[in-house]
Amino acid sequence: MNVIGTPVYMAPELWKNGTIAFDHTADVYAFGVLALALIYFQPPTELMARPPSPIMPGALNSLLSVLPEDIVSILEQCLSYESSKRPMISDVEFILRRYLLKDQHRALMVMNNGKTHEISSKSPNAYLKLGEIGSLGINYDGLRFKVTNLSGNIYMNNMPIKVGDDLPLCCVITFGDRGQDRSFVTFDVSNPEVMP
Amino acid sequence: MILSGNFIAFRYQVLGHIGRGGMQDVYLAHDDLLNMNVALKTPQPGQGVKRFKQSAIIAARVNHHNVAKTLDYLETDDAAYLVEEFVEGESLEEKLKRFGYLDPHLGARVLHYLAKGISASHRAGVIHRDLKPSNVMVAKGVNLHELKITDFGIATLTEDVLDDAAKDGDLTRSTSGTVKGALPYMAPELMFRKSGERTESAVDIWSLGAMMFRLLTGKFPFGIFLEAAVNVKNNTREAWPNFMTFNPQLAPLAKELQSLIESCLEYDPKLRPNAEDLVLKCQDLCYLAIDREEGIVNNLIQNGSSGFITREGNNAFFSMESVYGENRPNTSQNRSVCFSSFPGYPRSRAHPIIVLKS
Repeated sequence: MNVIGTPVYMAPELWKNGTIAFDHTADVYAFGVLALALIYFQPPTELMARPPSPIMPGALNSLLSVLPEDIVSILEQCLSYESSKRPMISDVEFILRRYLLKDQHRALMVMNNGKTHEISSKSPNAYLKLGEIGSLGINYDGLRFKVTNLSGNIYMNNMPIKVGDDLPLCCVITFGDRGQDRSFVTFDVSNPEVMP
Repeated sequence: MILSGNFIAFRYQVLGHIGRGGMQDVYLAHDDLLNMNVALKTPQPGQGVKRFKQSAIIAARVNHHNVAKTLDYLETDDAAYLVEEFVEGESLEEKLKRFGYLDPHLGARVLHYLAKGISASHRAGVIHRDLKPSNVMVAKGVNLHELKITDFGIATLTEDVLDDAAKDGDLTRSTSGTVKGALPYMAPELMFRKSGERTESAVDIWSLGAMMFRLLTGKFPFGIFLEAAVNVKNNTREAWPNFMTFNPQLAPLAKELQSLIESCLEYDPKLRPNAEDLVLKCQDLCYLAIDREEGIVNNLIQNGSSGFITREGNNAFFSMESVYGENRPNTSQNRSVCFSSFPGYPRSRAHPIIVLKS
């Protein structure tokens, strides 16, 4: 063995004789193991083996009673035996941040006449209607701003939207088609941070 | 003056003189050991080395992305040096020359960064006491990312200079360059304090408020030099300019900023928010977190109610409804603009837009 590392935290590709090939995904694997250690979760036996072997799909499912499904699922992906199946750490960070900042967002929609609609966990629904052009309902579930109902020609950053779509954290919403009397509404979300 | 090419302590190669503060000279240097550029600061003649060393020790306590990190301190036979993280860019004072003033979205971002940096230093028990736009470095361009407060190190120096000035009688009559430069942003309790009187971290919050007023309006809230002292004493602050609330889509954020800044400019230090409160309030501001771009207005259409901007890639469309500030974009003097862009058809849509001075 010529590899330096800490057993259990070492990705399977590091447990090789001779020349080993690895990349940044070895850190993603170690992060997955570290996350389990931090929450005192007894890792699956496959993970504890030296070298480790692939874990069964759903091996972390007992965590579902304490953690959101999105998080359990991405942690399981971090522990993928095949390095190419592990997620980008930025995607992991994005999901964790989303839950750590649950309910902390505030959105402000400002019509071009200055009329505002505020959405937050305290007042999670907004409904905008622009004359005969159309109407748009938005709900904040603590994680996402979602389109709940829609009528007429309404575009988000010039893309058509449909019920169930997420709104990005900043966008311009257009009421009306080209050639029609269009109206623009700005949608801006606050910037809460996990570590200021 | 240290000549370019000279080595300090066999490690830092001086590349050039880049600035002169009230009490120190600043050089750009290359750390040959770690292979990176650093800011090398050395006290000007007449400034004590002992104070300088003390200031380095205090500054080194602060670790935050929005504070320039103190990396090293060293003394040679003839001088003392402080080595600080180098930000390749300009100070907010220099940015103001280009912008005139910031729009509420960019202003909120800057306030958020500043509040975070100040909060981290106050947590470490370090008070700056000389916060002003020329002490804040930001990366090149219009995004104002990589914002770092510098010169936390001279906090104690400032205190000594202020104390000396207070001993001489009236601080506001001081001829010291440092005192003069600090006056427009100086809290009343610091300005009119008696020798030996202690001031608390709330002085930085006042300075932050005064600095943000200047960044958002282009004006000093209380004027400069002695005028600042008189106006602070008489409680006569510049009014918020009308242009801040003229655009209905930008007015809600502008009003939130105004009220936050007014809370920082409370005369009673106890009534000011602390830096941590401010960070939380900044997190709640709905400001655009997407990048800024620069461009040139190339055409106005629809009787001047909208137009197009040449930028990298495709032209962007804009409506005058998205313009902030006193100056309307046009194809002559006001053609240089800063904006964020949103995907659109057939052109991206620019919003908000401000006219740059150059």
